[in-house]
Amino acid sequence: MADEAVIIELLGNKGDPVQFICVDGDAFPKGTILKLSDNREADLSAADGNICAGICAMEKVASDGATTVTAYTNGIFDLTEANSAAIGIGVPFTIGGANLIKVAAAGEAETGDIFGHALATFAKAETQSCRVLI
Amino acid sequence: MANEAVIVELLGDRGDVMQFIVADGTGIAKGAILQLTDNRTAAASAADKPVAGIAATEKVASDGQTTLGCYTNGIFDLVDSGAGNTVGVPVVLGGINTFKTAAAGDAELGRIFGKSLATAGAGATEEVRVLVGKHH
Repeated sequence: MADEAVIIELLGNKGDPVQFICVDGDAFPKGTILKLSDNREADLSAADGNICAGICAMEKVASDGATTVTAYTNGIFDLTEANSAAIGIGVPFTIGGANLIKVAAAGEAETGDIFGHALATFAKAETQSCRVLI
Repeated sequence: MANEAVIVELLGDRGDVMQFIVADGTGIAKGAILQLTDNRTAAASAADKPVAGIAATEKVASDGQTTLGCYTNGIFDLVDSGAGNTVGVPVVLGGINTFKTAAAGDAELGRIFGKSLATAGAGATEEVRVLVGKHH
């Protein structure tokens, strides 16, 4: 994988980590943006429309026997824009691809897609700091 | 009452408890979902009202107490109000101690208080990530 999130600051109680179920065969690098799938399960983010579960707090090696993974839900992270459009400072964003973000569209507050807002102005494909709160 | 929330995990600082004013004459069960009314006052929930939090302790009617602590950050088992919902959707109050899927415009009205962590059938109990005061 690539474009994993980088911790700038963990807020709340050490980033408010939340435990999710995962498949033993999955591999998640630390910093992976995880999407929420059914029954409190996390998986690799893949595309616009995914709902963020959190940012993987540790490496998960494929088939290591672990069936849970912990994700940060509160902090400031360096995230990368999905090469779709610039993001203005303070603007909410959603998942835009694997470990990527994009500017939120109208109505996405009610679909649960938004998981943070930009703390800097992003050019396309640029990496900048973001406030994440899930 | 019935359908009170059950704690699964408290997040933040032990659930980020906030104190609210309550009416002395009101009985409130632990785990009741409380709506925010005027002047930082909490009361029994009803559909489509903004949430104050989840009662952290029991309040016995006419016990002289006029404040109550409410959890605002955690994962709780909550009861769907009847229509069911899908994983990841934002939720609002669906009735007394129940939730439903948010509708368009609910974000701007401050009604959303959490996100479903599982797909729930109609009237089912499912885990919900509660974070009161999150504005997106």
